[in-house]
Amino acid sequence: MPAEFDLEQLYDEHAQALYAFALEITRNEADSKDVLQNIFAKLAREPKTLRHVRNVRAYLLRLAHNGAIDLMRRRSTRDKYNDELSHEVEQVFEAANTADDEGFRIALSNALADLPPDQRAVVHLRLWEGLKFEEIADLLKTSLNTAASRYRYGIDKLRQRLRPLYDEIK
Amino acid sequence: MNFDEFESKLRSQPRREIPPGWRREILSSLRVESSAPIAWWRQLLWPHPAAWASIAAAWIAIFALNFAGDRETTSPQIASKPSPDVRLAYEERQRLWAELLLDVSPETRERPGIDRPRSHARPAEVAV
Repeated sequence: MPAEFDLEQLYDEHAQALYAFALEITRNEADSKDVLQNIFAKLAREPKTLRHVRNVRAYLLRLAHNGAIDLMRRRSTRDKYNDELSHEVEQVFEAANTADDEGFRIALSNALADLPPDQRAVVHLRLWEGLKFEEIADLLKTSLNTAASRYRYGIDKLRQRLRPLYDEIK
Repeated sequence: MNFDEFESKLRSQPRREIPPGWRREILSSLRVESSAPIAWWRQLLWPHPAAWASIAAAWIAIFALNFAGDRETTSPQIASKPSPDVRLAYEERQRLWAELLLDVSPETRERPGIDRPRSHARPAEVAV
């Protein structure tokens, strides 16, 4: 394979994170797969892509974000139809062992789905990727303040919505 | 990174696992893609496509210069008229040829009836 890197190794190291992020944005498993496929096809086509990249994970997450947003725009008609079925959004968490935990995860998944995509992306990158606001701002091509405020708004909405459940299982 | 209790609770929720079958599916599709003709060309030119392109450009330049050189040396000969000296020499040669041909015309040929020794016999025709 004409690459300066091992695609299989890249897949093993980053595919899970890319999948989780793409699923968070698209809320559709098939779309997430397309996003992933496009990213790795690009890497296979253009082996020099990662030559000067310092933070590979952040770079790939940016590709995933751009790919997911493009995909959602292109499929806006289908998404409109999906909006009508918004109660059946794809769950983004693993199934839990207890009913309480399962209920919380489903509620969290739905609450995340109701956030605007910009806030959802920042919340995901901050909480599940552990990125700093500087990194998030760089990744999403926005300012540090915007990234921080989007996170704050997003978390506040989640807190508000999940408080009863959270207090119950705490 | 400072997360409060609620944020830590969210962070602890495990994300859905990527379907295990995707790995083989995605990576094998890349192998198929890379064996396509375009990828084959890329593979051939890799890792120095710029160097190959430079060599190709150099060859094109050499052919172009060569072709232009040929045209410069041949076209003036075709286009220009012969010099007066050449024309005079040409006319002189034509005249000599004409005289030579007249010398072997029927009037100037020896008549076949005259007796002469066979050893002096000459060919009746002159090859020109």
